[in-house]
Amino acid sequence: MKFITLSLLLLFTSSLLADIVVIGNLQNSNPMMSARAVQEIYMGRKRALADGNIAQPIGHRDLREAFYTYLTTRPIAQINAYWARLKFSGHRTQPEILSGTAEVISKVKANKNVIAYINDQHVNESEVRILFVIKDK
Amino acid sequence: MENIRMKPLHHKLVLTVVSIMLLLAAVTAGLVYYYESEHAHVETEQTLNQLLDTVSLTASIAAYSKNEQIAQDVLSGLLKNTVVQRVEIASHEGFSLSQEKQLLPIGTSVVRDLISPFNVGEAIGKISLHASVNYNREKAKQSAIFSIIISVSLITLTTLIILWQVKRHVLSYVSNTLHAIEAGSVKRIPLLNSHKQDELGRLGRDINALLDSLGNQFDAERILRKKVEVAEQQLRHIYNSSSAGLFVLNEQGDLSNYNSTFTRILNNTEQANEDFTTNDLFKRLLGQQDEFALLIKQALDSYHLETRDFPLVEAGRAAPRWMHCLLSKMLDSDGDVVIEGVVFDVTERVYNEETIKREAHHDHLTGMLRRKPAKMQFESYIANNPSANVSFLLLDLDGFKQINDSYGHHAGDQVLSIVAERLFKCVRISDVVCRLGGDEFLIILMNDNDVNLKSEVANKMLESISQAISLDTGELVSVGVSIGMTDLHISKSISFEALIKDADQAMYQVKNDGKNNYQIKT
Repeated sequence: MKFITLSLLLLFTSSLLADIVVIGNLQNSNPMMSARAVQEIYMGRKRALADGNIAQPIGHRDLREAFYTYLTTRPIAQINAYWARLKFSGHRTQPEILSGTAEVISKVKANKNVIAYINDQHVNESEVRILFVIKDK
Repeated sequence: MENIRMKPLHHKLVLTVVSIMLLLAAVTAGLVYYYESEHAHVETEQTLNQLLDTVSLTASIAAYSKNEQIAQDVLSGLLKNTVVQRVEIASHEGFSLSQEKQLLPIGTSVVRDLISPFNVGEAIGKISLHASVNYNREKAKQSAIFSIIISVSLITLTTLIILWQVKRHVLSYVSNTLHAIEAGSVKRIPLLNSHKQDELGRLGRDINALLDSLGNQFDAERILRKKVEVAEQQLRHIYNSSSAGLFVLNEQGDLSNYNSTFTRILNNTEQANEDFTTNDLFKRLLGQQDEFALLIKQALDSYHLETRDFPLVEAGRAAPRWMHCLLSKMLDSDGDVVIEGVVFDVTERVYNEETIKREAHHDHLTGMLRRKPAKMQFESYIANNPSANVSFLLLDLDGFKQINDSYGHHAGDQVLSIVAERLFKCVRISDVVCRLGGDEFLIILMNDNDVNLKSEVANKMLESISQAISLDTGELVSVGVSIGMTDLHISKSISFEALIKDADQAMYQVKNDGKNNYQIKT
């Protein structure tokens, strides 16, 4: 139990301290993405990637707030409200949110069009490809 | 004073004021409408901006996420506002949507960029709101109507209150006071202290001045009328009390006017009779006379005054009354021909004249003709009857001087009077019986163509005169008469004097032969 708590704390702390990177499948042949492109995909403004494939963005529960804050400079509450509004219109839903980095990585590895964000400490460039790097402030 | 059904002045005033007011209100409404039309544009723009503020975030989200559903919601939400006529929303990389109510001309529009909710300053779309022209107009119209209603009702209320005051305090006062004033009376309008300086004060003073001058006129007229009345009365009095009967006939000769004297003269009474009888009386007495009709005709034919005397022969009256009548043609005030007449009762004068004439021609004592009129009658007769014979009988009483001497002149006069009566009975009415003087008489027998007539008459006279005469003293006396006679044939002269002279000679012959007989001149 102590370990879990410690490791969680460590994880949380490291995730706070560490950079966040946007990753994709190794077969994803798109060039590096811009912040704007990431934002447009994650805010539902755009669906297609540069190569024309429909992106399947995935969220990370622990990193979500930091990620959106960086992307939109908006508080997470507003982001939630934004999605709620879109959801009510019945057209879009926000990216699926997964709760663990391992789960996220396995999703990316499984689907060529999936993109996700994780702490850069967990990136193994033999498994996923880095598409965008969010420098920690 | 006349009571006209009143149309109160303030009604007219109200009508006038309301008319002017409506005109002014219309002008004001026009101005308000113009101003409001201009102003409403600004206001509308403000309203549209506020609406945009309200929905901008949602609209931005819709534009950012290219979510048409949200955009449609925004549009229909905006469209529910009465100001909004048309709404457009466009996302730069996505949709372009619009909604509108009806196809109406656009008045005011507001366009705004939609800014990305996440990237500050990045325009991601456009939203535009349009208000209809009608909205501005409607607003302006409402303002104008409101201003009209407010101003009209305020002014009307104020006007009514003021007019009510004016009517109640001033107009009613003047009107009622004037109404109560009788022209020519001494009453005047008392001036209100509070209105001495204004038009009402002047009106009051002017009315009083008018009343004054009217009163003066009435007085002057009254005096004048009085004078005319007096003059009329005097004239009527003169007309009625005139000793002459005055009357007016129309052209047909009917009596149309007359004074009371005329009635009195016709009636021969001192009292005026009933009017309606006068015309009848006139017709009966004067109208039926040919002479009078002739006089009327003469009067109508000439412009001269026509005069004549008429005898009025009335039933129950032996001697006629005489009227002196003057007629003249006149034109009356209407221009009709009338005859004005004047009638005098000249009966007395006529009879006086007759008496005078009679006294001049006849001997007073005996009633015989005097010498001169006898001569005139004779000469007139022989001039008219040249072939007729005329006899002269000259008489001289025998024994008269003795009676005169014994019994006095009075007895002598009695004798002469009785002798005269007897002589008249001996001759025809056409013959002349004349007293030459003293106890000498002349009988002229006109138209004596009978040779025996002279002797018959002489014998009759001798017998008649010789009868005893009873004096008023009781004594009986008697006289005789000596008669000398001649005629035109015997004397061979027509001279009155010559004939008397011849008869006188014959008479002296009788005197010398013993008296109391007759003799014809040889």
